Amino acid sequence: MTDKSNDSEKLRQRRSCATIARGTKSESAGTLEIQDSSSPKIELVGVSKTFTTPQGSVKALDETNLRVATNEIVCLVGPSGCGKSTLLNLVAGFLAPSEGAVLVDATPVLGPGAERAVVFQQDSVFPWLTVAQNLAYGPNARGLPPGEVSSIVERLLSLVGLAEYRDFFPLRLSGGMKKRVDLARAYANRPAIMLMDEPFGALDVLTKEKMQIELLRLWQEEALTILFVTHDIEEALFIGDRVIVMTPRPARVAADVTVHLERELDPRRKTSADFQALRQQLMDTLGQNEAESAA
Amino acid sequence: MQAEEGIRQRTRRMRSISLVSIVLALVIWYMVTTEWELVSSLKLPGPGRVLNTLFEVRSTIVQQALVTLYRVSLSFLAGSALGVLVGLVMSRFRVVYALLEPAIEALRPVPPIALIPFFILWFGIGMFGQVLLAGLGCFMVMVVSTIEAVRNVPRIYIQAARSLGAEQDHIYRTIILPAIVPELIAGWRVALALAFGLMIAAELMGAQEGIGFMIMVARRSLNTHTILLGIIIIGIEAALADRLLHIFTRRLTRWTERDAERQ
Repeated sequence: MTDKSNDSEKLRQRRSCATIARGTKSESAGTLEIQDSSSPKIELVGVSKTFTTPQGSVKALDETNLRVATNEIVCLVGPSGCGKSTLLNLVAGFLAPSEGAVLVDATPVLGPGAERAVVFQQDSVFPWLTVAQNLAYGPNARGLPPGEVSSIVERLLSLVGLAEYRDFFPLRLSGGMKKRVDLARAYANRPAIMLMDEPFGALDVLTKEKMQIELLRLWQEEALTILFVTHDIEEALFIGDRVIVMTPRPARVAADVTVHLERELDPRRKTSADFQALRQQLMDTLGQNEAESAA
Repeated sequence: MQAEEGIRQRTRRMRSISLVSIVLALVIWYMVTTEWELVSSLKLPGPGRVLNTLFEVRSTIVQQALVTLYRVSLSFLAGSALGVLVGLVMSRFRVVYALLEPAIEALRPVPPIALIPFFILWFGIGMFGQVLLAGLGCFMVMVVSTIEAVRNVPRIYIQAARSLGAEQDHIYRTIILPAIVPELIAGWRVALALAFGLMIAAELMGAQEGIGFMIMVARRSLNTHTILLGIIIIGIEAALADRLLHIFTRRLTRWTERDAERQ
């Protein structure tokens, strides 16, 4: 058995376990639907967000409802500038909603926190710290003892394959390597939730594919709920359990598609007929939306 | 390796070009004053005369030079350290900003030199007043530079730190402070040059020792070769201090692009 098939085998097992766990929870309702789970990890209830600019107020998000279950990967796609990032920033706690409530574990979000890690599109690796120091930032900030911090750093360095570069400043790393530092640094706090804002948008196709697989590997390691903003539908279908299509600004949920594809860590499946059919379906939804808003 | 060797060679060539310009200036000085005698020795003494003076006063001049250097270092270090600290505190706490900003903005356009008469009146002609004056100049430069630099720290680093669980004070220590260093370098260089200028001015107006004091005494007897010697010593001291600052800041900014290109 090759490594790859081994991985996907594990992944499938883990997926089925997760489904069973969710299933037992909602079995009384006689359904396996994730949306019906009684306590979602992330929940947005009638959330609106209006920004005040010198040119007047701009409504970025309009009465949006969203539920994300524990261990679920939900991808948000939509036209650029539609308010996907606003939604993510609300869950991250960088913004407060104008109306409605943003709940994590049924508790309102009041600000950023270590249990909700954020990976940005822009390079946010601290350039004045070495790779190892970057990875240690979160655990240090939370005041973990030095021994524990260094064991976390060692584990992450080997997990993302950067052990040789531990004492490098980010200046000397390629874009893909920096993204790996970014990902590992966010992961160092063992967050329950990862919020990702077009994290691989600036990478070339091959690096992007590698990073997507790396993300899924991380997600396999431990319980992790992921909210992933992207404008790349293939990316959304490859990593997501669900793909949410947003309307142009002000953003609402236009479509909520559950991905029933076989999940494998092989990027070649992107070219399969099922995958492409679903992709076309989502493209049509997106296009329809834009046409409607233009009319 | 070869590219590195090329860069090193180019650096060496540039150094020799710089050396040529210094030698050329010395030669012109010598020709104008001594060889062709275009200006009188009183108005611009020649290199020989200045060199003679150096030997005549060599016992005291070293001490005068050290006194000035010591005072400048003290005022630069204390003034700019306090300036950075106050700038950080002002950026961190809005109340402190609201409290100090008007005073600083009102005082900033006033050249510290204008304060010298009062400083002499208040503190006498001892070292304290002079260090306070030059330190005040450095302080003003660094407060403003620091506040500006803090404003320019990319928001994304602060957001990243917050979502990694860092509290505000921790962010100031671990994000803001290192991130502003490259921007502070320009401020430090300006402050250092200002410290030399203000110190000499303070010593000229009233002091008991130092290069400025020496120049003032020489001025009374139209002893222009001593004045010129004093000027040259100040120039050398300021250049060396700037060089030292450069080495120090380079250690602090190993992570930036400006140094990666040079290596």
